[in-house]
Amino acid sequence: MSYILIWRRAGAFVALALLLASCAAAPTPQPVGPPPVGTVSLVTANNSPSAEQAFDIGVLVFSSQAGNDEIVRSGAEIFSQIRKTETQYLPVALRSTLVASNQWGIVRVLPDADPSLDLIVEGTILSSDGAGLLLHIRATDSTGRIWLDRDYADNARVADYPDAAPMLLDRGLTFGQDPFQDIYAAIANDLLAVRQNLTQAEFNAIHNVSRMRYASDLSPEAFSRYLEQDALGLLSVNRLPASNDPLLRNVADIRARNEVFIDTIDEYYEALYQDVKPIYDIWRQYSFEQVEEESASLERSRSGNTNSGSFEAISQNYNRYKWSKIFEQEFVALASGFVSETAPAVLELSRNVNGLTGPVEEQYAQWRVLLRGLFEIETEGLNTSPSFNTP
Amino acid sequence: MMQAKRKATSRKPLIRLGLIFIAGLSVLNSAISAEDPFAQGRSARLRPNFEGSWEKDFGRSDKWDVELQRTIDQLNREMERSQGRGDGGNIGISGSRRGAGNLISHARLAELITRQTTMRIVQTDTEVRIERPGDAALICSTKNSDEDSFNSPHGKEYCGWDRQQLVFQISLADGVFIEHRFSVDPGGESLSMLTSVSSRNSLPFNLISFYNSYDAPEDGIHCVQTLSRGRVCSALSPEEAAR
Repeated sequence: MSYILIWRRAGAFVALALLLASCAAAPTPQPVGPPPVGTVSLVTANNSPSAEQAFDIGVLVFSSQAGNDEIVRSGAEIFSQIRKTETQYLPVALRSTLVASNQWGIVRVLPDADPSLDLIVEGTILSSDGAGLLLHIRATDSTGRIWLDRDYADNARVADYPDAAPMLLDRGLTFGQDPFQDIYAAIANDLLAVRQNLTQAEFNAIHNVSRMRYASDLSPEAFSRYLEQDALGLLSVNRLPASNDPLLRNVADIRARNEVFIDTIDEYYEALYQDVKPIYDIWRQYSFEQVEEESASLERSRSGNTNSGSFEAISQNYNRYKWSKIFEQEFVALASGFVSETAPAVLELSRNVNGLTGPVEEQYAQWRVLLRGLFEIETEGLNTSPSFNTP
Repeated sequence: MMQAKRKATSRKPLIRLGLIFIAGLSVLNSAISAEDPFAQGRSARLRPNFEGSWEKDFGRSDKWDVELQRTIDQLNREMERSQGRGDGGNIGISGSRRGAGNLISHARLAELITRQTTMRIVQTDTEVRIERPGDAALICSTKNSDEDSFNSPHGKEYCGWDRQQLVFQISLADGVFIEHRFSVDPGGESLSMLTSVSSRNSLPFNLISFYNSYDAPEDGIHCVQTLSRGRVCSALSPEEAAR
């Protein structure tokens, strides 16, 4: 038997072992998303809606399911911190887009759902890098009706980034527009389309449920009776308290204070956004370039025509591998730079608000408890069976 | 009857092939173990300390061309033995046969990737980071972890511990397989790196490099990576430098 045949057979064993090894280590598939939203123009209004016609929106801090399967070693902790920052950063971008459309009432970023708001928008980051953003958005009004429950995808183009990453010698020098502005515009337009299809009666019903939900959240024993749930789980108001009801006046007072607190919380998220944006812009540009370089490198290796097995061919392959790894290690180092530079802004978000302590999520929960206590004190002695009107 | 005889005859090369393959693997395995001078006699629970600056000991390290000739001679001898004749199939360094041709390429690749004359190794409780000038750092956790891998379209890397040896295995996209085995002597003065390059068409080519510990001069500079300003460095105070 010839030597060559022996090694061909032996090679088959090795090839099988390598194949099995590569199957075992196959990377987790990236989430499959919808087609990208493309170029989207935000539908704007010249005049803001009147208070009676305005829907108040709460955009909750996003959750994240995005992973970094390709970058797991040594950078895993750093990348999870970047993901966490994104969950607080991206909702502000969506909020700003909704505000810019001039189609809504107040729009605030919150750590948790607030019953005083007409519409709650929740987002999940499914994947995010400089080249693509995939979000799942769920919007639910106060009655429980779902407005949106779908994925949105957007891809960045070279034109979305400046020619060279700014070095931030001047911290004011950042990109004019978010590379994924189209995705926020698409979400805002879809929300608007749902609202425009509402009848005036539906519109009023949502408003009334929001008011009663908030009142019921403060004092369930006094106000939960005004709400009823149908077989589908949707809430409606069966009657309303009289407009001069003293308990309802107290609810309005507490609600006004709650709105001030919500504004403060929102300002903290806005401050985080402004602080992080210059760094995040650079980070996304590096990330975009990394994805582009990886893609170009793969293309080069596919189109390579050197003689397989020659030293030239295998050294080229090794060099491609080496540079992909060096690039990744640089990327991890940059991620570390991102985390260290944004840390002060993230810490700022957890500073005390109005004497409350702990992370902003905890402060928000403490505030809700505080308001309930305040309501009880202020309504002590009042009849908890208010007079009512029909809606 | 004739058919049965033909079957038995046709099986013979396969059986011989299997035996040769197993024998080859055991020879390689024993060769690798024998060539690692530091692998024995230490507790498997404690990771050896690779920390420090290392410079190549050219006197003790393999020379790639000598090793290549030795491997080819060994191949010729094994082939002669397996074929039971002394003249056929001689493989010269010109590499007219495919297997030998790849062996030469692998030997040159092994030389290319072990060219560094110095290495710096940073070891913490959680990871070992081997920094080599001109190449990507080899990083592995001190525990065998599922996360000890690197994946790119150009290749995959796995690392782990084989008793007291730190092992990195790289499978390049074209089927070339590279293994680095690091071991350090108990005194922490000498480090060996066994580099093996192979593919399905060729014998593994092994190259051992020895490194000696040396005191790299302290630069007294502390650097922090930032995203906006790159690497920001500052001089350490004498107290900080002493720490």
